[in-house]
This record gives sequence, C-alpha cells and structure tokens, in this order.
Amino acid sequence: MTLLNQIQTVRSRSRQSGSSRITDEQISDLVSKLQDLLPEARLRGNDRVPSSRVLQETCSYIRSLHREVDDLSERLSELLATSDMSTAQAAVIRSLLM
Amino acid sequence: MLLLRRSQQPGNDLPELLWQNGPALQRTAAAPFPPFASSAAGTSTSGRAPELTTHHPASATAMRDLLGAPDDDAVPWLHYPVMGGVDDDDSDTAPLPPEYCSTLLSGYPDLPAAVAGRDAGGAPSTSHCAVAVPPPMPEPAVPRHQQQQARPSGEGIMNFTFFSRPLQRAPPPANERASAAAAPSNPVESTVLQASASRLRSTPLFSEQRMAWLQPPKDSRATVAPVPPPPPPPTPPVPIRQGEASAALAHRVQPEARAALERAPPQPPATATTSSVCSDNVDRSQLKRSSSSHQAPEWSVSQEDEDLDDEAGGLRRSASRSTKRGRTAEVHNMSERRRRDRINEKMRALQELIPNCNKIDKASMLEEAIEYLKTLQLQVQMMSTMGTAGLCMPPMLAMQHMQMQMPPMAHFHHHHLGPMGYGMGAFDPRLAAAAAGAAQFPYPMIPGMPMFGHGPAMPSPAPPFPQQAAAAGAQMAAGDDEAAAQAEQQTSGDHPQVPGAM
Repeated sequence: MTLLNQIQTVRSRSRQSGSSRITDEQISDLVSKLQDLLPEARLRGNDRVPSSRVLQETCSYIRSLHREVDDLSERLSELLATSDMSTAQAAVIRSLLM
Repeated sequence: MLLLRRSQQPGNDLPELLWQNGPALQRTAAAPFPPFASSAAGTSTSGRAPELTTHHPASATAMRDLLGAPDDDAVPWLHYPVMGGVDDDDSDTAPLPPEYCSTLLSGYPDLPAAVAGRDAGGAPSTSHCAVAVPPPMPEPAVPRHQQQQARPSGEGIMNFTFFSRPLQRAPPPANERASAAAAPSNPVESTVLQASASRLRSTPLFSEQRMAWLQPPKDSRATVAPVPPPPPPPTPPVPIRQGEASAALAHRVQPEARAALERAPPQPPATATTSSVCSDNVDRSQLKRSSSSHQAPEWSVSQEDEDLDDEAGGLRRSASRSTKRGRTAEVHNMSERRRRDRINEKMRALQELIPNCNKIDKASMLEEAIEYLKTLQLQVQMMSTMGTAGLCMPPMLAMQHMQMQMPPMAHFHHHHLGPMGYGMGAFDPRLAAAAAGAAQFPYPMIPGMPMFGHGPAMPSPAPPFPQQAAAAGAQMAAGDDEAAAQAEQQTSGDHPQVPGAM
C-alpha cells in the first residue's frame, strides 16, 4: 500500500471513530519513514531517535540538498557551455537547465 | 581629556563668560538647585554625566557643550567649582562646594568630598541615582576627601560627579574597607535619595523620572509611563556595583516591570520593581521594596516563559495542595508541552522549506515532506549523473519517470529546481508520449539509467526512447537496487545490460 493510502486509511478510521484527530502513532509512523530517507550519517542509531531530532535533521538535509542542486545546476550549465557533446545531448541538458 | 575635546565647539565664548560669572552666581547657592535639577534631568543624557565628572578645569565649558549649551539660568551650578581649584578662572570658587553641598543636601557635608573623589567611570550617569546618592557614605567620603584636594576635578562638575556615579564610587571605597561599609552607606543613600527626591520633586521632569522608583507610594501612578526610562540609566551601575545578581534582576525587572504595568498589577509593586533596580544599589529593605523585589523574581520567572505560566501556576497550586502526584503530573505535563513545542517549531521550519506546502495538519505536512525529500534526492542523483555521464538518456528517463510518477510534484521543480523545472515543462509533450508507451518504471529504476551509459549516443531522443526504456526497464528491474547503489559511482559505464537493451 502506498504511503498515501496508508494515511488515508488511518484517517478514515479515525473519522469513523468519531474523532478526526491525527493520532500520534500516525505521526510517529510518518516520522520514522522520514527518518529512513535521511542518510545514515544523520542518525545516531535508528533506535529511539526523538521526533524533534528527526525533523531537525530533515530540515538540514533538505537545505543541503538544495545547495547541492544549485551546485549541480551550475556545473551542468558550465559543462554545457564548455563541452563538446553531441547536439542531442547538449539539447537535452540545455532544456533541463533553462 | 574627553572633556577637552568636547569643549572644542562653537559657543565656547559663552561658557567662558558664564564662567566668569560663576563666582557671581556662586553666591546664590541655594537657588540653582531646582534649575539644575530640571536642566540636568532634562538635558543631561546618561552617557554624558559620567564624562562630565572627569575632572577638568574647563569642565564648565565642557559640560555646557555636553549639555547642549543650556541656559545659564538653567545650569548656573555648572560653574560652581565643586572642588575648588577648578580653573585658572575659578581660583576663588574653591570653597563653594562644601557650602553648596550643605545647602543642597543638608546634613551631608561630605558631599563635595564624595563628589570630588569620583571619577567618571564612564558609566551612564545615574543622574537620578546620583542625586540620591549625594554624600552617600560619610565614611567613604572621608578618604576621598583627601584625594579630592589633589584633584582639580569637580568644579562645576560637582553635580555630575556627585550625581553621576555615586553608586559606582561607593563600592570601590567600600570594597577597600569592607563590604560592611557598603551596607551602612546604603541606608544613607536611600535616605539621601528620598531627601533629594523630595527636593527635586518640584521639577516635573525630574520628578517623573525619579519619582517612579524613588517615591513609589506617592507618584506611583504618574510614574507608570516613565518607568521604563529610568531603569536603564541605573541599570549599568547596578551590575558594576553589585555584580551579576542585581544586574540580572534589574534586566529582568525592567521588562517585567513594564509587562507588569501592562498587566495592571498593583501600582506600588510595579514602581517598586523599577525602584528595586536602583534599590539594588541602595537598599531594598530600606526602600521598603523587599516585598516587591521578591515579587520581581516571580514575575521574571513567569515571564520568561509564558507557555509555562499555566504550568507554573499549576505547579504552585499543586504544591499548595502538597500532592506528590499532582506535582509529578504537572511536571510531566510541562515537559510534554515543551517537547511538543519543540516538535511544532521544527515542523514549522520544515514547512517553510517545502515549496507550496499549504497543509495545516501535521500528517499531511509530513507526507509532503517525505515526498519532497524523495524528489530532491532523485533530482540530485539525476543531476550528478548528468554531470558525470553527460548524456541525455538519463535525464530524459528521469524526467519521464518523474512526470509519470509525481505529477503533483511538478510544482516542486518549478519552484525550486529553477532551470530544471523549465526543462521539465519543455519536455512535456515528448515525455507524455514517452510515458504513455513506457512501462511503469519503479522508482528505483531511475538510478539505473546511467547504465544506458554513454555508449550509444541517442540520435533521436524521443521515439526510440520509450521502447528502449521499456525494454531496458524490464531488464533493469532485476538489477535496480544494485544500479541505484552504483548510479553515483558510474561515470562511463558500459553496463552489461546496456548492449542488450540497445
């Protein structure tokens, strides 16, 4: 089941139960999934990492990814300008970058 | 000297003239006090007063300049040689100070001595406090008096030296002798404060600024507004004088006093707290502010963390009930609340990072965060692959895949990917066609793209791709995980499967 489906199931269940409150369990489940996405280096062992820590690491990881994307964009644009790739390749990259 | 430099201003002639008139004014010792009070209070900025206290012969001129050249009538005292031997011009003004002081503060003949001995110290003038502290300690004044003779300081500075850093001067001599000395001096100061305060009451400005913490019971209401201004000047001397505790309390007290005022607490306590700022120097007990000063820490505690207000109150209540369980529960609630606040704060930060996140509830926001994180990772992977391999195939497939699997995420790219986003849009028609024909690439498939390698160049990107991609996809599915791991490391790679696909 996809993540979204899981969430929807949980939500519908909670609605049926009369409370539309998002359970803590649900949130912790999401947080653990988020934790799995994080690179290993950012977690001191996967056991009992507090949610706030996971969120914090996620934020910093996203920021670093942003920086990396900017960096790569720059390099790609330079590559495009200097390299002598085939027209097709250059066209592809150019379309990506512009 | 600082004063010297400051005196280099236009209008020096006037002061000199006034200075010459000094002796004349000198005789009217009693009169100038109120005018001084008003002008000093009105014009003297905290920062200047201490500087003025720096003994200097041309102090009168300097003081005038510092004070913005107040009227002679306003500050006739300026030219009063507090300490004798002010200047060449003031040779005959030496004896003034004692008499002047006596008129100013009856019963405190040591004032001139105390004033003379004071150095500017540079702290903002506690002109308010200073007035209060005139001859604060007879004992400390004695040794200073001896020093004073040697110094030509004071003169017209009397008021400033005397008023500016009384608190600061008090401690050093007190410390030299004994901390006990400071204690007795405090009561003296407090009484002096009150005495001078009463004297200054006539001047509206001064009274407003000083009455707040000098005479809380009387002017408590009037001083509500001006309360904030007075505390700052006394605050600097406070820490110097009594170290961190009082300073911390003062700093805490100020905002809390203000907040307390806003909350409409009882007037005396409010003013009392501000007065406690100075009372730290003077004497809390003496000023009858012990009770209010005790209140200040409570206010500060409750104010430091408004979130804890309920818990604090709950704690107190539970404590009063003396139920151990109640207290434990309260503590638990408090820690739980803190934890929640921390998490909420991190969630907000995360929400700001995610573009186009208009979700309010935590769960959906976390979902978006997860998807966005995946998108970002994919994007970074793809771009690094492009950079290393420099081929069109990978990016084409990647975009294809992304278009297929994450259409709602397209806005992510437009927002953050910048150039990438545009590229995505450009590819739409082809990608759509390709997507239609292409197989459902599983997510891990993307990293496998580099395996197509830069072996065979793709002459016509669009048409053949879907078929090849589909075929490759079928073949790749098996080796996806490995490919994903190798994606970043492969630069040129004739992957074993590539020839098969092409």
